[in-house]
Amino acid sequence: MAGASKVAVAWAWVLGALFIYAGALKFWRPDLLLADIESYHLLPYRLAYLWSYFLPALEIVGGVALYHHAWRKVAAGLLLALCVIFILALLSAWARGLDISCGCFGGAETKANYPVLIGRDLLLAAGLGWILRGRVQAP
Amino acid sequence: MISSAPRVAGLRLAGLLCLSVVLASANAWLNPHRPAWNLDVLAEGEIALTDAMAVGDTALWIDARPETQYRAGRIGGALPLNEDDWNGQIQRVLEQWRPGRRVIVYCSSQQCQASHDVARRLREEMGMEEVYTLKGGWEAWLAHQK
Repeated sequence: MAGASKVAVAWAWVLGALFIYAGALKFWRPDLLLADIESYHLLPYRLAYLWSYFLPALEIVGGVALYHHAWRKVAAGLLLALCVIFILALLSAWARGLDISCGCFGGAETKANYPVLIGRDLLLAAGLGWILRGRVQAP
Repeated sequence: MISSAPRVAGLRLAGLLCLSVVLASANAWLNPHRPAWNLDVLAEGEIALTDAMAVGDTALWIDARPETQYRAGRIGGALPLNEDDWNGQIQRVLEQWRPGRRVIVYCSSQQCQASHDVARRLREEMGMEEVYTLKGGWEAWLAHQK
């Protein structure tokens, strides 16, 4: 059981690093992220504007919190909710045939490959779900 | 005895959200790449449609949309240049450009990113100085024609 717990902690750290990295890329360029969010045609401009600042901050804070055992499950729940939002947004854009830039990792991705992006978010969500439901102990 | 775990989790969740708001606010205050809150304000490197039309044919117009959309309709005289076929299309652009000539890049709408990406590459990789993106893009152009 101790071995499994260590694997789970290591997995939480990997996910934490991933969310910090993704959040930091977006954090520096809110203008590019806003353009990406706008391309989904889901939010009015000013809500998209606020989201372009709040989303990276949420990813960074959630990613850092995954490193601390006392905050891990709450952070996993928060980031899992984010992943569900991402998946729903991608499904919506895919259904409407939009040619979007995902915005998932700053401006690094120019075109959306919907099955790959949704699959990646599902994997992330599954990983976070494992942390959320599991018995991940200290550290 | 009633467990306090849900209450603690709720407080921690509120803490994470508050911390995120603080971080987001600091970023909104300090980040130099701050987008315009007011849509009527031009972002850095943007040109308004009326100003772009006044420049007219003296500018080099670049259509950054996908090839199929370019073929379906474009601003008169615009050359296609997008990141899918950059190497194949850039030569024709360079032939038409001369130092001092303004370049106006557009994509499908205010929300698209392609014109910004192409404009950035023209500045950084080709050394062009007066490169602008058309505010509102092709949608704004079409709306003006109606």
